[in-house]
Amino acid sequence: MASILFDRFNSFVSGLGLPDLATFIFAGLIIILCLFIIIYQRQLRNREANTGRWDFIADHMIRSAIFFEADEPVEPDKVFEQIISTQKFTVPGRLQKLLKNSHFRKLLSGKLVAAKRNMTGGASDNLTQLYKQLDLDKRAIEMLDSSSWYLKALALQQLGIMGLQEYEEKIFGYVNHKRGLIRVEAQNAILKFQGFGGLRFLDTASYPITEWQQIKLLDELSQLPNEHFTGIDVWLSSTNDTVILFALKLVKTYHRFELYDQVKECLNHTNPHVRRQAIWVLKELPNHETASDLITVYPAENTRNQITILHVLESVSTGSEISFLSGLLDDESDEIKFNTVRTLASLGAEGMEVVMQHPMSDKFPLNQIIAQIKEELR
Amino acid sequence: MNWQDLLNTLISSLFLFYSIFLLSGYIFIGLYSIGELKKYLRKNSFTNYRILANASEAPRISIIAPAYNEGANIIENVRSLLSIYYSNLEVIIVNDGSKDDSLEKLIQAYELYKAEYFVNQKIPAKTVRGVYKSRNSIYSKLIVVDKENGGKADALNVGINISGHDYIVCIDVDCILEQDAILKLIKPFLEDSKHRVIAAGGVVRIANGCEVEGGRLVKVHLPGQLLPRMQTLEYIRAFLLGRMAWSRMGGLMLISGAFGAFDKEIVIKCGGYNHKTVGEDMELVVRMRRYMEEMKIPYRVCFIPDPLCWTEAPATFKILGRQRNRWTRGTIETLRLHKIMFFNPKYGLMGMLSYPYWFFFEFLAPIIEFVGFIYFNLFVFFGQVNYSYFLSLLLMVYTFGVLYSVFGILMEVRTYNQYKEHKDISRLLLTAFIEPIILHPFGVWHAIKGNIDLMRKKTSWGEMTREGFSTAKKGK
Repeated sequence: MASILFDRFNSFVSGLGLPDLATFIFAGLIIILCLFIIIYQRQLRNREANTGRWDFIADHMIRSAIFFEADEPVEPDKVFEQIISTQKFTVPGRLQKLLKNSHFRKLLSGKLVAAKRNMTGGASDNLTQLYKQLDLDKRAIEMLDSSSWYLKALALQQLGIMGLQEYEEKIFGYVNHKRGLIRVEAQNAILKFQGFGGLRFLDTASYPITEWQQIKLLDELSQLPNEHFTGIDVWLSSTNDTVILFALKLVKTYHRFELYDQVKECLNHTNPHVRRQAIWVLKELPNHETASDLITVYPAENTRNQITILHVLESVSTGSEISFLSGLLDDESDEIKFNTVRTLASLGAEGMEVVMQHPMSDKFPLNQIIAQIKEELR
Repeated sequence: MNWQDLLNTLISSLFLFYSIFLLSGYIFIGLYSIGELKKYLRKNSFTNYRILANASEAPRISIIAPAYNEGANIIENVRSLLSIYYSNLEVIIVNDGSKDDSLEKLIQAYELYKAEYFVNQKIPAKTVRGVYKSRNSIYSKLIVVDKENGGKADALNVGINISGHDYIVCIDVDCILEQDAILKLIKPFLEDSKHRVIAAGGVVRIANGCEVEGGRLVKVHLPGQLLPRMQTLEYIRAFLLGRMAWSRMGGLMLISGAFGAFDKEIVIKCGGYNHKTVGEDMELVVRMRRYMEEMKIPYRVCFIPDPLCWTEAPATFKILGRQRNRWTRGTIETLRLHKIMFFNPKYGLMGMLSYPYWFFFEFLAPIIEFVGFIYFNLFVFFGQVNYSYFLSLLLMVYTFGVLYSVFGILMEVRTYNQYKEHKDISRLLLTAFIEPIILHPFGVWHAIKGNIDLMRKKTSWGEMTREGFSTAKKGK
């Protein structure tokens, strides 16, 4: 019977042309995909329905942990009858069973991590304790040892936020990982464990620290109590330009006036982005030499950095730069002219006087620039 | 075999091979997009956009929105833009010589005054009649520019000249943006230290039928009308499959004019938008890429699969026809302006793959389809037609079209699942069967008309009347 059917199918197929065969294959695939979409959407709806119940169980457990006090007797939960664990927290059997479900585990880990982010003190410690008691740390280590970059990064994020310092050495091994996201999560975790001391990964960072990561690191550091950390001088002379850029941002954020000379050296760096950042940083570390230091490098700079210098001069000018600035009013670039007028105007009446006395002050574009700056000053 | 049979066989085989070539391309794109989508979604799950919104180190952005005769909704649209969640932001509305009361309405609603303003003409553009700022500090981010009418590209160029920030986001003023749209669009510019990210685009979705309140999208519905629904399917295919795959390959040539972010320095170096083409969005991206290739600067054009921007699709065949006609003319103009890149290894992937793809798949496909249709009718007329062969070929192409759409729906359900209602997906699946016999031939016909109009040197945009979101408020 089977061989007859097979023969008939064979003769049917051999009678078909290429377009007919393709049509049958496509039609078959359409049916399969349509069925899959309908079944998948149904599954999603079921999962969403489950999520409501799971949310309740997870939230209840997390709330119990947050409000747990050590002197409370460990009582069986009245809502859940079967008690599996007699450790610090009473873990209902239903939750223990649900932990075998990877979707629930993901939901619970996510909720614990989110709650931990917003907690400090005893409540925060309790959440870490619960995370460990549910063996989620062991799961995280399993994920860390997997070959998936996504699972590795997720594990590093969880271990970092949960503050599991016992894994620090293992995590530190990933701070210079070739995969960007893994590297970033490992660096963040180290910062969470060690605070400013965690920045030591910058000593050996050979991969770029992207602008996004720099923003994240600065955000992480902003949550720590201010302290006088060391190492910036080393990072300012790193061979990795992105490390220098980040170090410059640290100097700016933490007003490290003692590093003025090292920042000044960056004005001669080969990378124009580094030079530009250094110009901005000098605005935050002004002294009586800043304006003349910037004017010295001005002629060799590109237009973008020259405009940045003019912006910074608005804040750091001492008044003795007027002759330099008046010369720039004849520059070919209208953008330079505009920023020069603004800088001169920031010097007060004397600066504005220089602008008004310029032979082209009543002609376009200078007259229009002056009108705008005057209106802004009003 | 006589010469007629020989010619018949030869032409039929050519059509078959072209179809196989086209289908193979689509299969590759569909499958290749999966990895990129998966990677983006996983990576995105680690991102806390709140950090970027409040960071002092976040890049400074100018949103540029040209407006022409948008008086009916301009106040609401601007309010929606001003409420975008991002700190280092300025919003530039360019009134492109509107004949209605758009400017007066803006002056009144946002307490504007005509400010002294020096417009640095980095890109040549029409005369600016005035720059307006608000007396009310609540609207300090807002700049309204009034200029002589010069078209969308010219208005965008004026916006670029006015912009004081490093990145520009060009949008259609009547688009509805997601709250975190700017954050998501700007992040790729911060993530790559090895390449200069010159442009980033996001998914544009159809807002017809959705519930809109106060310039915000509150609930997503599938459009009730068939025409916008077919376009919804088309957009899902184009954005989730096509652009994701091209983004992964590094060969993306188009960022929708409705919503895209650009590195302003590179835009200015390239001379800004070309106001002589009706496909200014695609032309700019191609010119920027060409510039980077010629300067040998490593660069990237990124694409975000998140639905960031919602727009109203044409609901009548008349308006849709004008849009498709314009898209065709824009594509041909762009390809013509940059023909030097065609199979030119000097331009890398863009010269060897992206440009040829657009030539064979976007420009040539409707022409070949149309010629095939004429050829078939001629053979019917002369009684020479091999019906069974043509029917087979037609069925193959049709089933593939449906399969590709169903695959697009699958990707949508597996990723963003915007259309959660059970009947929405059923209707979308049904649309996949209808679309190849209604929208597709309609598109082919208007592409042919676009070719003819271009030969006649027609350069107009064609009026795009919109019904407005007020009807959408009522639901489906």
